[in-house]
Amino acid sequence: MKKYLFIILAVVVVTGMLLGSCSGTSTTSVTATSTKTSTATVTATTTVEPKILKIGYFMSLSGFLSVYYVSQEAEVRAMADIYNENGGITVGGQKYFIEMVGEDTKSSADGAAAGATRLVYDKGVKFVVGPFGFEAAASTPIFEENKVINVNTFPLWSPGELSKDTPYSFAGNAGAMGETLVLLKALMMEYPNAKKVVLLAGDDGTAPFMEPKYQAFMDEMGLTLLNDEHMVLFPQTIEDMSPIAAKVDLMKPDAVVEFGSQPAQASSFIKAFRALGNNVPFVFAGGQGPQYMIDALGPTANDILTTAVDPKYPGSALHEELMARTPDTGSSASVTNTLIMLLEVLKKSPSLDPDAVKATWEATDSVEGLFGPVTFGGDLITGGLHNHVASYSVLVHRVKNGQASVVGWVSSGRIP
Amino acid sequence: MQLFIQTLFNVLIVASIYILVGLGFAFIFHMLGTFNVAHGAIYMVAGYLGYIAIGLWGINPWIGFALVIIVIGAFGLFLERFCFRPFLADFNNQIMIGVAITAILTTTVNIWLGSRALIIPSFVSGVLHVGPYPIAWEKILVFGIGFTILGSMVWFAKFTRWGKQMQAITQNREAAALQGINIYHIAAIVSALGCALAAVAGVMVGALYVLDPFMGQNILTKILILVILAGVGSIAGIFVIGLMLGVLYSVLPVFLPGNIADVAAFSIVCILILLRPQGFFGHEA
Repeated sequence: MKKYLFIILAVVVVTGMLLGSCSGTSTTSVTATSTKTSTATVTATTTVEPKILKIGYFMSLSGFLSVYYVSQEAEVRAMADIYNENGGITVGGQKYFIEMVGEDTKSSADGAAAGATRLVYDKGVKFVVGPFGFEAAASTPIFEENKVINVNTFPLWSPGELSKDTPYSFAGNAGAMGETLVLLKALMMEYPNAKKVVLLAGDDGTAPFMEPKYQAFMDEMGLTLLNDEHMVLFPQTIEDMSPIAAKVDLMKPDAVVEFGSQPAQASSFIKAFRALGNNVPFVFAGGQGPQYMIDALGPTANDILTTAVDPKYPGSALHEELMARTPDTGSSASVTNTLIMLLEVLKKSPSLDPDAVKATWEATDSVEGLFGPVTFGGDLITGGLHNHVASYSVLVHRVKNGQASVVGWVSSGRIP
Repeated sequence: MQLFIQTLFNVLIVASIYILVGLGFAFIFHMLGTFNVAHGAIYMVAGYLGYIAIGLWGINPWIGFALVIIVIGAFGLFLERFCFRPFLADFNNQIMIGVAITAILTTTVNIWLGSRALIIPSFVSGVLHVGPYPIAWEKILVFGIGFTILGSMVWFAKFTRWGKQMQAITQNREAAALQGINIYHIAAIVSALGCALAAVAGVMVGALYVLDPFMGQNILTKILILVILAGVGSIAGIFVIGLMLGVLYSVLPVFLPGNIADVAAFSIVCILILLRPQGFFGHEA
């Protein structure tokens, strides 16, 4: 019996290894069709053979963050296909087709370190889109050591992510800070009488670094941060948001702005909050769209502002094409937008040398992205890196009486 | 006063959830001698099955609820026969099989449904006003269901023939077998009941809060604390410690910010374990 069990186990292990070596995130997105089309074009116009440019995408395809990134893998590959079908990119006179090479950060620092090592040493990539937030603290040292241009897809601004000591690291957006600025602007547009605001967030350890900045922004906007000018934080592992809802309710806010938490926590909070009879506006950087809130909350889905991509409101023709190729993903496309930023900067660069690309990026104030213009800034927030942080417009939705409508595209402006 | 009323109900709801899941875990641990680390994943899967039955297929909520309990209970029978029984008294392999089941269930749900946080449609809507203070009817219902089921479990364990046989097995497995108790028959019932209790909690949480593929891992830590502090074989201990954990995890987040609430709760638990490592109730193992 034990012998047969051993044989079965050996078969399972070998099969798993074979399947693992064949599948996974490292397949390329350069298709034969696009190669043929573009080769014909290349032959007609230049005498230089196009080369392959490997770009890494580095995101959480498993673990608790995969809810945000699994759907974005297909989008990133589709965007690379679009670029290749349109002739690839030309850097310093040399044409390149994009080959996307992926690794899973496994939603952890360990996974990020291992994945970064594989990207750099096994797959030899010099440009990486990703990772997310705190994962960068583990992967950035590896990228920086090897002068790999890497673009964080959602910085949390914790130490080690992005600073003067990480010259080859960039951010595809301003993370929670950028979201908060957009949400606060949207709140002021839709609810101009809402002055006393609670900022609610999952405790990811960045509050001590971010609170002074939020206080300063809100002062400039004429808003008051309640809770003695501190954010209201809750444990990331909390199951029941009712105690937090009760706590916030007592503060008598004019509005609640929640960010940096998972959709499950946000809808759990608003459900409990509305059950207390509190109907002040709730503003949340959702990513899953207003319909999710309506489905989740039923009649309590009222006076909610949320951000999400909507196929009926594409940010650009490119965005429309992307959504046509990847329907039903419903993602924020933040990783794809970050890829576009990188590719547009590469097109401006005289070469693929990381120092040349870095200098080009720092000299570029704006590029055209998926949702319109992308502005680079971040000197203050990074402690001296010029133009390393991107910002762009986000589509804001309003939910009123269980019905969703679009407020419009709102930008945080250049990140200071 | 409003905060007190709200917090009181939050304590009762959270305690009900912990007690339901903890009691199921304790049944399997104390009576089968199996450390089922997949119990959290079973609770999570039950929640998602509830969403599929009630939210997607549109089955009547109460019928869907019953179906999920039956399906998960049947899964408990399968687990006992093929995953628990072969590894009795083999703690290492129990952990491994539990980890494997957890990984399979969590990954499957995450890939299939995990990209969106889902909610089971409410069983009842509206609020009850206790004076000027609103209490959601859903919370009252969840507490009522939890209380009823827990009461039924206590009655079952203390006053039915099977329940008494379960207690005998908990006290001394070999002696129970020598008295003619069919250990495997009772083990199957215990496993089915334990998983069914997790299913009840999973569906209630899915209706009250939001489903998340990793919610099983979150609750498992608390369940282990609950079972350890309660002690071997004590149902009353599960109730008391469950209530204590409900107080910790409902009250502390109100007064302490962020993760400090979690740290404070775990610190208190550590102190209690140091004071009484064998648990506060129950008998010596």
